[in-house]
Amino acid sequence: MATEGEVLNRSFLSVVAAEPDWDAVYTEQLPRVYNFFRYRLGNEAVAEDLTSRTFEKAWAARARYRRDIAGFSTWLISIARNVATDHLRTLKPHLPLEAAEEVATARTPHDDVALDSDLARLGTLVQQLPQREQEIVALKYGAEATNRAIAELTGLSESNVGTILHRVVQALRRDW
Amino acid sequence: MDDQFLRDLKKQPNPVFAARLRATLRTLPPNAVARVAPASGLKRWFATAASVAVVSLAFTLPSVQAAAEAFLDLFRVRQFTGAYFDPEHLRSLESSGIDPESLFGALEPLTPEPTPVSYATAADAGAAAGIRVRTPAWVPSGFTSGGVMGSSEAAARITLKTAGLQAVLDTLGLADVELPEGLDGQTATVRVPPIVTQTFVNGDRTVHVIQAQSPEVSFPAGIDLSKLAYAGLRVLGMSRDEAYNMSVTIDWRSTLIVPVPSRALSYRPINVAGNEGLLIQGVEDNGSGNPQGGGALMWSAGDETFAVAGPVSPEALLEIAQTLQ
Repeated sequence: MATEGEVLNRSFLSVVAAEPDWDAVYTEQLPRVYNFFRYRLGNEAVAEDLTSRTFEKAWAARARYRRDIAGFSTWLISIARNVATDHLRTLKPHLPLEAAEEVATARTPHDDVALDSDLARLGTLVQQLPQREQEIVALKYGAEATNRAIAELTGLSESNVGTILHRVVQALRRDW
Repeated sequence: MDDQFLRDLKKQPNPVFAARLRATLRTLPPNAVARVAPASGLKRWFATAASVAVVSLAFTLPSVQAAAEAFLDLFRVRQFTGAYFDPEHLRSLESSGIDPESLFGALEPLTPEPTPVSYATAADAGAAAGIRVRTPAWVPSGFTSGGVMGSSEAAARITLKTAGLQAVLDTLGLADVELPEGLDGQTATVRVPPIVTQTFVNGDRTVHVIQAQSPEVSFPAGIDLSKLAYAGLRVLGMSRDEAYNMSVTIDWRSTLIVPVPSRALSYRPINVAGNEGLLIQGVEDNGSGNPQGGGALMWSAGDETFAVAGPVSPEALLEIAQTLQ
């Protein structure tokens, strides 16, 4: 006999028998998506908000994801990337996306207090990088994406991703 | 490449946040998985929703002691909210030989069966109903007036029979639901004021604009409505957590729960001219981004309740609603 927890889990995410085990997927992918936003934006509260948006979008569109569970993380992260892009656009609606970098870098008194945290410190350093590099750092260290997956997501070659990461990590470590 | 300092910054999400998000996902419609409800399916849904609404509302009805009518409390619709249910869940009741609508004991009509009456104008129907009927200043292109119907007031007294309720709970295996003691044999009174329905037709498509004073349910004060609501929501198929959260956060004296089939339709709150309404619509076609199958929009303003329903887009439903004058 199924336990109450098992019943709840089934009713939660296992709606369609042929679908992946969404409950397990949620448990596995939540930290990746959450950390992607933390590394991308350097703000815990925003990371939670955007993580929620990502999972809600993914859940609503899950029928469009087709079976290949190995690629699920990539699919989910691609949604997260779009959510991050939308968020950065809304920071300054009438500026082009590139200008959002400057907005995200702008400090507030609250941010100054938060500088004590390593995450905020990293956020400050990362935000000095071009958008593409910022995203690659977040994908690599937040979302735990492989260089190959990052290449698929960004359209760069795998070797190019490796080169960029090497250069960026050296720069960050120098200023850390 | 020494990148440990970057890896060390990773952390697990706050468990409270993770649990809250998981709970939110549980309440979201499986939009893209379900197929679109066809127009005929929508009609069936309205019929089902009406009967299920009776079930869920009746579960929220507390008892009335004949000698204690001076202490009655009153339910009036001030707000609508949706609740997903699995139609298969309720069909299992029927297959068990239990009629969901006859669970609650005797239903004693207090008025003659309402018969629809056709009126020449909305004003005439409103005069008969005792309300000022509002007509839409805009309807979708191609739609023309198909007439105005009015129905008389209906009222009934329901005598609760806890044995029937308990049989349902047992059939569904809802061991976590405990019915309050002392309900057996007590009654509640439901009053549904006259309803005016304007129709607008375009070929075989019909849009209904419905208006009435709020229905009322009288029941004894001091009843723990949330406990009864929990039972109703569990019967609808809601999980323990969802049912509990909903039962303790909703004002059951002013909120009407509208059961929504979980795989056929979706719902969301929507602002209608400053009033929070409920929009129910056919779920998004797989990947098309276009909800189909029409929908229904319902809201309350003052002492009156309104609904616009038909096989048109949500935007059209809202436009009709916002141009009522």
